[in-house]
Formats: sequence, C-alpha cells, structure tokens
Amino acid sequence: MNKVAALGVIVILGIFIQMALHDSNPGKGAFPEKSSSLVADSYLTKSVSQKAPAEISPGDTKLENGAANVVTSVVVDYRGFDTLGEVTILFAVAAGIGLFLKKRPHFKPRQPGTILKTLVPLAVFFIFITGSYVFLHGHLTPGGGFPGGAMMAAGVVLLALSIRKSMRSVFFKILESLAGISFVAIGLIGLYTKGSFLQNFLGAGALGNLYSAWLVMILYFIIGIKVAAELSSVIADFDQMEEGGKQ
Amino acid sequence: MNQVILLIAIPLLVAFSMPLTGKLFPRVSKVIALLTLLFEAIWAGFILFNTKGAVSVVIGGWLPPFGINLVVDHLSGVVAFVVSIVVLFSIFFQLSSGLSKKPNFYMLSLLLVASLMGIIFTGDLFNLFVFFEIAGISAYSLIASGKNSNSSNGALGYLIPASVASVFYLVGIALIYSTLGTLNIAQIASSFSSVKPILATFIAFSLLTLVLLEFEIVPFNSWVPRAYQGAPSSISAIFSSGLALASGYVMLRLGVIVFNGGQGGFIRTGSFELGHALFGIGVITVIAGEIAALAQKDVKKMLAFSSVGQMGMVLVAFSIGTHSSIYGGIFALISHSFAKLLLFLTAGLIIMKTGKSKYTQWTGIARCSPLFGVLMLIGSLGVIGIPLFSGFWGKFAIIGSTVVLGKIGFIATTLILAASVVEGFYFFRLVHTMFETGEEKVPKVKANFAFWLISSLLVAVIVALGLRPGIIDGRLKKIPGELIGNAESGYVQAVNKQLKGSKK
Amino acid sequence: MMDFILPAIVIGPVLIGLLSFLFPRKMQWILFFLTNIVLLGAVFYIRDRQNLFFLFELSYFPVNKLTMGMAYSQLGWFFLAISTVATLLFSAFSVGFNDKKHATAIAPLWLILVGASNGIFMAHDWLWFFIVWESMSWTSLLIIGHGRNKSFKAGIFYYLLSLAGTFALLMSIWLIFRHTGNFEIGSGILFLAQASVRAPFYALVVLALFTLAFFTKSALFPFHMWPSLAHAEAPDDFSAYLSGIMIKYGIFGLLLVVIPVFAASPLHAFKAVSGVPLPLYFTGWISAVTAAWGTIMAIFSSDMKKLMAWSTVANVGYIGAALSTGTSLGYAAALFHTANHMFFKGAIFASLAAVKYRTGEREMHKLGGLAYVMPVTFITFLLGIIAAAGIPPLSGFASKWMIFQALFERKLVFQSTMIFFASTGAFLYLFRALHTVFLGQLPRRFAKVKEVGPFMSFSLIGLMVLMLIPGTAPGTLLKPINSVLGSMGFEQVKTGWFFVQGSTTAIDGGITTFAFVLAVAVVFLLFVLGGKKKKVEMLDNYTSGETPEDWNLTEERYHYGNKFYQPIEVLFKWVPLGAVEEKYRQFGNSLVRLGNLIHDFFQGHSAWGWQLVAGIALLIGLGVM
Repeated sequence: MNKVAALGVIVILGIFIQMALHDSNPGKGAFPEKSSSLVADSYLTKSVSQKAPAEISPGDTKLENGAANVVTSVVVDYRGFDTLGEVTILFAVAAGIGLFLKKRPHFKPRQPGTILKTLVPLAVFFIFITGSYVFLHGHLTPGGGFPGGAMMAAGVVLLALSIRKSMRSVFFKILESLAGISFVAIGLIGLYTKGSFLQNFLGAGALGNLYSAWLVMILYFIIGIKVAAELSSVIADFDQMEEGGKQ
Repeated sequence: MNQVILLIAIPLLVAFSMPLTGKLFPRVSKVIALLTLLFEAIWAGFILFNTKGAVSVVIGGWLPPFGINLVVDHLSGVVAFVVSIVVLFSIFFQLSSGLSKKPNFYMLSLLLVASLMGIIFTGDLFNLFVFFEIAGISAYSLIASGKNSNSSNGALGYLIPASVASVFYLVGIALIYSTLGTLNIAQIASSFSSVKPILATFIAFSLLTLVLLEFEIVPFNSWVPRAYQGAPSSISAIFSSGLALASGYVMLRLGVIVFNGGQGGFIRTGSFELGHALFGIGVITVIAGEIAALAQKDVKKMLAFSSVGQMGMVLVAFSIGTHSSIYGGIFALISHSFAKLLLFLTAGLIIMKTGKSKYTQWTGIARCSPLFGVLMLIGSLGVIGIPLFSGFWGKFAIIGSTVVLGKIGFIATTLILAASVVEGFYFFRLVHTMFETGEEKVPKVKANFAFWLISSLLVAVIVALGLRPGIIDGRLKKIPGELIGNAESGYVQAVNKQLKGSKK
Repeated sequence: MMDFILPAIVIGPVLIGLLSFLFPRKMQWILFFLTNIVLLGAVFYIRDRQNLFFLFELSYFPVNKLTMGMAYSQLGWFFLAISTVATLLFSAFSVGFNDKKHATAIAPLWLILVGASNGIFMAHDWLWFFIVWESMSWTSLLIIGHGRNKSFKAGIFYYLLSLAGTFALLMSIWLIFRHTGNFEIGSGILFLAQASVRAPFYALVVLALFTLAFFTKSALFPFHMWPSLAHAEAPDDFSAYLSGIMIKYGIFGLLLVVIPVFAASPLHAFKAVSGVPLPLYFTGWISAVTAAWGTIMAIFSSDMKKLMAWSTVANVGYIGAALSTGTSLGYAAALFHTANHMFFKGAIFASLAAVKYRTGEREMHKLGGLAYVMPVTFITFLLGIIAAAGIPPLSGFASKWMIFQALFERKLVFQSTMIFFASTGAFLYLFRALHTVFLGQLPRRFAKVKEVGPFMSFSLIGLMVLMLIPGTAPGTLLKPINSVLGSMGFEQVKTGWFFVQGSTTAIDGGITTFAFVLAVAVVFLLFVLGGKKKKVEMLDNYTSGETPEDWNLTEERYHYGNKFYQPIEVLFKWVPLGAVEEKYRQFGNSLVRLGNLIHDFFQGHSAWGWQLVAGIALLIGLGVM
C-alpha cells in the first residue's frame, strides 16, 4: 500500500515536472536561455554593491568581498544569515538528541584491538591537521567549516573508539557554546558598527591571500569548531547513554 | 527598524550559550531563557509599536535580492508580537508548573521562537526554508520530550511527512531560482506572473505542500492529533497558537503577494484557480476538523482537531483575498491563538494535576474548582466565536466575505456554519461535563500564581478583543492595504525601493 | 434623545449578575428580585419616549462606520413591559423557591439573561440584536444544564438548534448588509420589501434564514421537540421563564422582520393564497401543524412539566397561525395571546414548581388531591388551565377567540381546523393535569404537605391577577397593542376596555365575567347544599381489599392518572410522532461515526504518503473545477 502511495507521489511529480518543463505557453520557462538575470552573476563578478570590476585577479584589494572561493563568498558572506540558520539546525539536532535520549541498558562494547589502538593517534593527528586546514582555507579553496568540522569530529570518534574511556561531553558543550556565541556576537558587532547584522566590519583583504576575507575566514573557523564540537557532543551523548546503562 | 534582527539573534545567542550556563548553573539558565522570551515579547511589542509601514532591513550589508532581507510591516509585526507572547506564556507555564525539564527543553524552545521570528520576518524564500527546518527540528524534539506513550510516536509522525514536504518546498525554490534567478520574495512577487502558467502552478504546489502541512490543513495534517496528544501541553499550545499562526501568515504572504502578485481576489497562478482550490480545501478542513473533534474523548486531541477546523476557516478567508476577508482571517487567527492558548494551558494543568486526559473523566472538576471551568468556558466561547468574545469579530468578517460570493459561497458558508454548530456542541459538552455533579469525590485542583497570572491576562485579552475590536483594529486594518495594492503591494514597494537604490 | 437608560436596563442586570457571583446564594436571589423591581420602574419610565436611543461606534474595519446600539420601539416596549412584569413575579417566586434544599446557582446567569433579553427587545440594528441574541442563547444553555447530565442533554439539544438559528441570522445579516451597507433593522426591512419585487428569490432566501432563526427559538415545526426536553429538565423555577418569556423571542423576531417585510412589499410580489402571501401561508400551515402536534404530545405525556412544555409548543403554534394571517386582527391576536400565554403559562409552571417544591414529584400519577393542602397553588393552577383552555372569562379566551376571528376573516380552513382540534385537545390534557395533580385523593405520604411560603404565594397571586384582568377587560392589553400596531403602520383593532370587535362578531369581557361568576356561585351553592359524601380509599375501591404488593405491583399502577389517555394513544399510533427527534438523533450519531472515521484517517504512520497525494490531487481537482 505504502509503495503504491510512494509510486503515486512520484508519478504525479513526474507528470507535473514533465508538463512544467515542457510548457509551450508564453512566459518564462524553468531554464531560460539567458542566465544573466540570475543573482549568481553578480556573486561571480563580485558586483553586488559596486560596479563589476573589469577583471578579478589574485591580490585585488578593492573588492566588495575578498574570498577567492566563490561558493564560500556566497554561503558565508552574501547569504551568511542562512549559514547561521544551518548551524542552528545542527545545534538543534544535537540538543534534541540530548533531550530525548534516555538511559537504557546496552550491550557491553567490544574492547578495541591492537591495530586500532596503535594507529589511531597517528591517524587522528593527520585528520585534525587536514580538518583544520579545510576550514581555515575555506575562503580560498573548496571546503570550509562544515566538512572541516565533520572531519575533526570523525577524528574524535576514532579516538573514542580506541581509548574506550567514557567521553565527557562537557568540554564539547562548552566549545560548542562559545563558538555559537561568537557567531552571533560577530553578527551583532556588524550590526552596531556597520549598521547591519553579520556585516563585514573587518575589510576584504587581498584576494587569494590566506589572511583575506576576514569575516569569511573567522566565521568558517567558528563554524568548523562548532560543527566539530557538536558532532562530538552527539557522540559523547550516545556514549554516555551506554555508560549509564552499565550502572 | 534595524533592531528587528535582535528578535532572531538574541534567542539564538542565549540558546547557544545555554550548554555553557546549563552545565554551570542549571537553574539560572532556565530563568535566563524565560527572561529572553520576555525580552522577545517586549521587543516585538516595541517593533510593532514603531511600525508605520513596510520597511525592509538588510542583513550582512548586501542589498536585496543579493543579500537576505527582513521585512517589517504591520502584518509581520502583529503576528510576531502574538507569537512571542504565546511562547512566553507557554514556557512560563511549563517552567512554573513544577514538571522539571532538562535545560535542553528551554534551549529548543528558544530556537523555536527564533525560527518562528525568522519565518515571520524574512524576505527571502530560501531563508524561510531554513527557518522552517529549524522550527521543525526543534519541534520534533520538543514533542518527543513529552512523557506519555504517544510522544515519540507523535514526533515521528510529524518528522516524516514534514521532511518529505520540505523536499517539495526545496524543489519549488529550485524551480523559482532557475526561472526567475532570485530568491527574494518581493522580487519574485513582481515577476511571478511572467512564469509559464503550468510551471507557476507546479511551483505553487511545491511550496504550499509544506506550508499547508504546517498550517494543519486536511489532508496534509496527518501529524496533528498524535503530535498534539504526545507533546507536553505547553508545546501543544505553541503549536496551535504559534506555529499554526506563523504558517498561516506564510500562507497569506505567499498566496496573496507572491502567487497573486498582490492583486487581491481569488489567488490565480497562470490559468489555474489556486484560490478556488484553497477555498475548497479550506471548507473540507473546517468540516473534517470539527467532525473529527466531535468524536474525540481525549481533550487534547479534541482541541487539536478544533485547531484544524479553525485553520480551515482562516484558509477560506485568505483564499478569497479581499480586504475584509484578509482582515477577518487575521483577526480569527490572532483570537484563536489567545483562546486556544488558554484552553491548552488550562487543560494541560488539569491533566497534569488529575492525570485524567479524557473529558468524560472530568466530571465535577469545576464543582470543586469553579475557576477552571470558567477558564475553559471563556476559552471555548472565544474559539467558537460567540459575540462579546474575541473569536466573534474574526468569524463575523469571514462569514461576511464568504456569503457574498454567490451560490458556491452560500453553500460554503452554510457548511462552515454547520461545522461551527458542531464546534459549539463539543465545547459546551466539555465545559458542562466539568460542572456536572459526579458520584465520586473529585480532588480540588490547585494552581500557582504564575498560572493565574497567565490565565487572567489571556481572559482579559479575549474579553477585551471581544468587547472592543478597535483595540487592535487600528493596526489590523492597515494590513490588507499593505498586502493588496493597485500596482504593487506595500510590501513589494518597500523592497523595490531598496532595489532601485542598489542600481549602480 | 441619547439617553443612558436604555443601555442601563441591559448592562445593569449583566453587571449585577457578574458581581453577584461573589455573593452567597441567598443574597444572589434577593439581588435578582431587587434588580427586577428597579427594572420594572425603568421600563415604565421609558414608556412612550419614542425618540429614545443609544448608539455607539465601533472601530471595525470590514464595515466603514460600524454603529450599533438600541432604540425605543413600541413593539419592543410592549414585549419589554410584559416580560419585565412576568420576570418580576417569577423572581419573587424564585426568592422563596431557592431555600437551602432547592437552591441552584443560576441567579447570576439569570440576571445576565434578563439583561440580554431586554437588549433583544430594544435592538436598533442587527449586530446588536445578534450579540444579545447569542448571549441569551448560551447563558440559557448553562442555566438549563445547571450541572446535571440529563438536563445538559436536553439543554444542548436546544442550544444546537438555536446555534443553527443564530448562524442563519448571521448569514442573513450579511446578505442584507451587502446591499444596504449598514446593519439597521429598518433599512433592512425596506431593502427586503424592495427586493421581493426585483429579486424575489434573494428576498425569500434571506427571509427563510431569518425564519429559521426564529422558528428554532420559538420551537415551531420541525424544531418543536426541544421545549419538551429543555423546559422539563430546566430548574423548576426557571421553566416558567423559559416557557413564558424565552419562547416568545422567535415571535418577537417574526414581528420585527418577517411580518413588516410582507406588509411593506407590494401585493403582486408573492403569490397569494386566500389573500395571504404564499410564504406566510406556508408558515401558517407549519404553525397549525405545530399546534396539533404539541397538543397530541401533551395528551400523551405523563410528566407534568413535559405536558406543559408541549402545551407551550401548541400555544406558539396558535400565535404563529395568527401571525400568518397577515391581517392586523391576526397580529393583535398574536400579540395578545403572547402576553396572555406569558402569564398563564408562567402561572402554571410556577404552581407546578410549587408542587414539586413541596412533594418532590413530577410524575402526575404519583400525585393527587393536593388542592386540599395547597389551596393557593391549586387556584392559580386552576385559573391557569382555564386560561390555557380558553374558557371565559380568563385571558386565554379573548385571545383565542381573536385568533379564530383572524383565521375566519381570511377563510383559512386548514389552519382553523387544526387550531380547533388543538384547543379541543387542550381540554383533555389540561383537565388531566388538574385532575391528577390537584383533585382526587391525597396520597398518605403527602398528608403533611403545606402551602408554599409568602414570596411564592405573592408571585402566584400576582400571576392570577394578571390572568384575570385581561380576561375581564381585554382593553388593558389591547390598547397598548393598538399603539404597537399603529406604530408599525397597521390598522388598529376596534376595542374598548371590555369590548372587542372581531371579524364576524364581538365579545364583551364584562358580560362573560359576570356570567361566569354567576355560574360559579350557583354551582358552589349546589355544592354546599348537596348531599353528604363518603370517603373511600382509592386502593380499596380498585383492588377489592387485596394488597397489590403481593403481585409486585405498586400503588401508582392503580392511580387513575396512570396511562390516562391510553385509548387516544392507540388511536394515534400510526402517526410517526417521534420521527423528527429520531432523525436528529440518527444524524448526530452518524456525525460521531464520521468523526471517528476521519480520526482513523490520521492514525497509522503509513497514511501520510496517501495524504500528501490526496491533498495535491484535491488541490488540482478543486482548482480545475
């Protein structure tokens, strides 16, 4: 029955999309030939609030946005408010898990093997390095706070598996909290110094430099920490549930 | 007006800080959460008080449509104020009721209020989606935090359809972006009529699936009864009075401004009579909701279905899209928020103190503690729309705008009013059962000061709005004019002013 | 003349009612009584102040300038006056009735109800009318329910019908507003009268909606069953108010809107049957059927309150039939009978309440012989049923006579037959009530029953006077009625203090009273001079000395009042008398079943997919339609 319903949804959707995309009536279709109307063009040429520069090359300092990575410039700067929302979603998930996880008996976990014990510290070292690289270079290269943070959290999982001591979530909670506070605080600083929430009050810097696009960089750093801490604290919550079960 | 962002930023800030304060001073953190909600209410009131017309506020210094903007007008101001009060009262009730909840509960409530504020103020379609997601995720966890057997069931029943509907919504956003190249609501509104008719209809359906689901419209609302029953009463109250209100607001905004281009009259997308469809589905919702409520014994489920019915009536009003119907719809929404809040909190208290959740078990409760009976009575009168109570003026305007629509309107009005008769029946049945003299002795129900404070304030609001609709009429009557304009609505104008300023 | 006395007679009782929630119960009743005294003064103070009004503005967007309020009208004043007089007497009764044993907590609500009632009679516009009308409905529901499950079931039935009626009212108000742009009653009537020519269907729909509202309130067919439930289950002292005053709101409404519209619309607007516009003629049939139906049901009732409730239904049927003649004689008859019924039915219910107060019984075959121990109550009841049966010289005679005259004038055969049948039937049930409750033998357990206290006796005597005066001197009521008719633009009835001119003949109240007194004196003389009587216990007579307990039978089985009219019941077996109630009940049950179905639709996790599909399909379907 359920599968029929699902099929029904898909068929309706399919028919609709077919009709919608191949509509011969006058008016704008889904994929207009000229894409210049998209706001993305302005993001690409960094011409949202000023005239589009004739050419954008590394080292340019007078750009409205200093991030070399265009995706990041959109995600964290132009539409930074959305990102605050995304971070909040993750936070809400973590908080929700903490709210309704109830302690219950659980099977005793297996002790980690020797290979795991020996190799994990090494692997975690590299994972942390890579992770922090990814979120620190978010404004330059593909990547950013979310994948970087997830990598770091993966390292934490590995550590937890290999050490097999009960993880304390307090540390992660505090880290998470501090990161979250600083995100909003940066937004508020923007509001009170420049007049608009999350506005860049630090300048654009030179395109392509590591120390450029300050807002993007700092926010991605914060996001990275926050994501890492949140995921870790979720894991710690699960872990503590097992611990509780042992008693 | 720049400061409107604080309505979203401050609860987020406090919520983010709560893992820290919650670990260090668990008790204080709850109080801080409550103070934040108080701040929300005051600030929303301040914003509403200072609203003179539609104003667009940019975020991140980027002008729309490139950056995200918030729009403050009378509609969003009023709705935000009501929502903030609803959440404040519910959480105050929860905090003072003595049922201890983890700090995470209050944290999630803060996230919920922040997301509701975001939903209300944002001027960007994708940002709206993000806030819907936050609201949804906080809501799932909050439902699951209930103590009864239906809690996790209810949360799951909400999670799955809402997630699927979110995907629909996302598809809609993607199509809009690929067609019009912008996500800004105002800009979409001014160029939506140029979209090919079938595509426009498809987009409307995709977006509305999520909105109607949150707006508790039959048959999208499979989550409603279980979620309401499973959630703690304070959260059920927020759902019925806050989330539904905010979703209704989105429905109005998308329907009238975006799909219909702010023209007024029945909503049309291309050649498709979306307004007629919504009108019909609204009538169906009214009937289904009220009849389903009639068959319920569980009080919270009964109230949940009654909310469904009320939302159907509001949808009917919004779909007509005339000045008076929009006014009536908003009035009905607001009054429903206050009255339902009172009902849910009182019912929640009684259920908590007596452990009886079915109305048939409530025999004689009001004989020992008559004030509870009076509270339920006033709440019921407010919801049914009896004159001298707040619900009347909304219903009055709605009936006035449906009955003049010719034959179909006459039939629809008859059906809605017949459903209202059913509504009157089950509400009076509930109230009267409380006043009956039962055989067994009923223990006296006691409430604390906080409850009396909240309930007396709500009673005052319900009665005051009923006696003098003029108290909020001054603000409300500007709303239809801001939504519906001759050329373009006030909302679109406010954003377009900025757009023109951004032309280099 | 803008004056605050009009709002005061509405808001005053409401405020006192709200305030009196704080007082102990005894205090509440005394406050209720005192308020009614003041109200009586106020009502006679405003008499004939034609241009008295109180209007205020509300800020309410959908209507540009929302003015609402009250204004003096002769029709409203007439209703206001008779209802205030009756209420005062009922309240005196209640003060005595609500002692420690019988006290109910309804006084504050009753006060609110009185305020709302005054508001209805003095309404200037539809909005105000609707507001007070609806407030009256739900407060009366709470009074009828008064905390007992069985009464609530009766009350909610009444309330549902009345809610349906008020919502019909709401629709019609807007349908008028759409064209007139205001809520004033006067302009609404004018509009409807014009619309009856231009858009007769539209006018008929609006009128039908109004009529629905008023029919539900006045219990005309097919809503005739609620009084038998609600009047019977309501608190005993409140039944008098319910049956005397509240049932007349519908009559007032019909006189306020429907009648003036037919009077103002041109002759050719509606098809006419024997000179009566067809819709009105149809109303006449309904009223006639109601009268007959109520009578038959009253004959079958063994519960004395139910019996009187059915009798009320029958009487409303008479009034409706008189109204639907469309002649000024008919209107005068209707108004006259309204007033008379208010007093005699009030008296009957009050005396029944007195019986129940002393004996605690409602079933007639458990009573008997109370005339020996409760003489005042007995005489009140006696006069009440004489009036109700329409025997001269009491008030009911004159008004019933006028109703017949009005029906004859238009040559309405069916209505006349039905009303004639009903008023003959009235003898049957009224006599039964008198005989089984007050005459016959006093059961031993009631030997020590005493007459009711001074407050109640005062009220009963007052009601007696009010029944006697209009019977002897119909002019006392007909003169004010004439001024009502005059103010509405109708021809006036020819009447003096004692004399009334009908369509075929005239009557004189003085002569009939004189004849009656003479006849009573003669009979009394014969009674005094008559032979000696020997008392035999009723049971000894029936059972030939056997004890019925041996066969597990109770005494009541042998009471002559038990199944009094069984032969008539057999006669009417083929008439589906309970059919309408049964239909309503079935409808309610199927609604609940449907509700469960809808609820099941929400159950189960697998349903949501279907629902999304169904939702989108519905949207498409409805949009294409």
